[in-house]
Amino acid sequence: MSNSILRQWIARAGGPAILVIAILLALLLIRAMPGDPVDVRLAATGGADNQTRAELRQQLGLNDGPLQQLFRWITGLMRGDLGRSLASDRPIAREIAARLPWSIAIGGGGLAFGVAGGFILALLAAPRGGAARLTSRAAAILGQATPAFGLGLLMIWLFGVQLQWIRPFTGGLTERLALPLLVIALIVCGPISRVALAAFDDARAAPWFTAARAKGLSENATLFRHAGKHAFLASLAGLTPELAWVIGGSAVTEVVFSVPGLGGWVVESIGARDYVALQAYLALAICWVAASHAGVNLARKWLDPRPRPLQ
Amino acid sequence: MSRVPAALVVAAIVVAALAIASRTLDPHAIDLSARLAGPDARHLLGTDHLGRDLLARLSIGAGRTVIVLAIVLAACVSAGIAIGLAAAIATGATEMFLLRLMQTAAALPRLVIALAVTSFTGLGLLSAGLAIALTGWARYALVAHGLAREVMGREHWRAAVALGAHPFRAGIRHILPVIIRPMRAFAGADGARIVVTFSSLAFLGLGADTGNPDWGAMIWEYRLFLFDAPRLPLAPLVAIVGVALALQLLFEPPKDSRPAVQSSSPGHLER
Repeated sequence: MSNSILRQWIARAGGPAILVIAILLALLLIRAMPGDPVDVRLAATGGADNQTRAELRQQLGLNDGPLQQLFRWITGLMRGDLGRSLASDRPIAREIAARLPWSIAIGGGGLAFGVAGGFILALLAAPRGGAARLTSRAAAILGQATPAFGLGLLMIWLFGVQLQWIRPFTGGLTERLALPLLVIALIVCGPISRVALAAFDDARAAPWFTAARAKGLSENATLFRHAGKHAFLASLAGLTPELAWVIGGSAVTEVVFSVPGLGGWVVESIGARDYVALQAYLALAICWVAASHAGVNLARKWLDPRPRPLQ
Repeated sequence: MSRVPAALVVAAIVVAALAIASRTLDPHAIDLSARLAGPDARHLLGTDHLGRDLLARLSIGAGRTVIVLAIVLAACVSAGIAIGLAAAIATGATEMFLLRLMQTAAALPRLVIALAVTSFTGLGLLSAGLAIALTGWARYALVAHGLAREVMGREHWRAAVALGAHPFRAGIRHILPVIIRPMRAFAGADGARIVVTFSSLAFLGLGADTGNPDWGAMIWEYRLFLFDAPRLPLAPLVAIVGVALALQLLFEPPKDSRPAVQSSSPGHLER
């Protein structure tokens, strides 16, 4: 009995294990990056003599051994203190708090619209053959073949210059968010529509579907009301790999549209060799992965409380 | 899939033609008297803001992209098959452990990790390739695992085990040849993601030597000319999308990698 419990624990440890390995590897790699945060920082003000450099290093705590620095950071983390940025001296927590809403707005909004769009596309494509299905397939394929920054540049050119509908850099909040959100939604809706379409197709083969149709319900109504839940569940499953968009998978999009979100911050921190910021980001990313996965799983359980077949 | 060999031959001819064309025109030759020239007989796609021939730069970028693609595919396929197959054969708690490992690894934000690694190692072809492979192996492992599981349900596997064959040796002899082909198809379909990821890394260009005409880096360099000379940023973009599309259309991913509500293998791509 205890043997099987132990085995269960070992089995469940797989997820956390990779996270721990990833954190350790990442922390080591970050520290091993060539380039010195002090040099980068002083270069912006024209360089400095050795004494200033040494003092700055001492002040930032970079003279301690790497293990000591990590230990200090981890204990700080447990107290809730994320440290100060090596590049700007601002508290990391405040930086993240300032940038998180932007990333959530673009990433979360983009995902939401993408799921909705994919679902609707699949709903339109399911009963008909031909054109709508082709659109779904084309959207999925193109979405995977186009880099986000390319799509972003095209959007800026199309909507900002040619059609002049949107001012992507100088407009108000909605105008600034509209295009990056659209980029993410477009990229995500293709694969989601494929997943939802597959679920709709499976549902159409089911006996309860035929029964509903035989009772006189129209194709669209059956699809929406009865098969909709299945397709939505499938969309949630298809959403899981895309959740990283929120936490900064949209780094390229943020850079193109000059949005002050987390992705852009990470790019800057890498450039400035800001170890503390990168460590904090890593911790945040891991928490987000765990939390969002748990959230999606909860949603799936709520929608479909049936016990799943054992794997 | 019988279209694949023909398409590959055509692609090889195109690449060879481009390489020959680029040999006659130096991609690094700066010619300030011919800046931003439109397409003409000498420069088939015109020149950029420094007078460099655009087509020559594109073809060098093509070669680099192909090399990175080969590196990533080799690394991902070998690591993915090794781990996925080992997980399937192992069964029990080991399998669950490895499965969770792969699923979580597949869920980490990929571009950012690849970015961090390449800023550390530079954007050399090998390091960029390995960085991208580091973020992508998990899905290959999951697909390999699913495929291996499917094969393990068949008679010849059960016969081999019943005859007393050691599981790992039997796995190499009996499962591996069967899953190689669908893995190849999956790898081909994944090629699109790899091309796009590499271009994103080159676009952000941390730790890069900007002399190298990677397509993504070219788009970054030319983005300021989006309004005046749109062919400059658009040409590499078209190249990226074209290659990614071609790879996607040529290779149909195997059925077992199709996403289902409760499968162990997520089926689609993310950047």
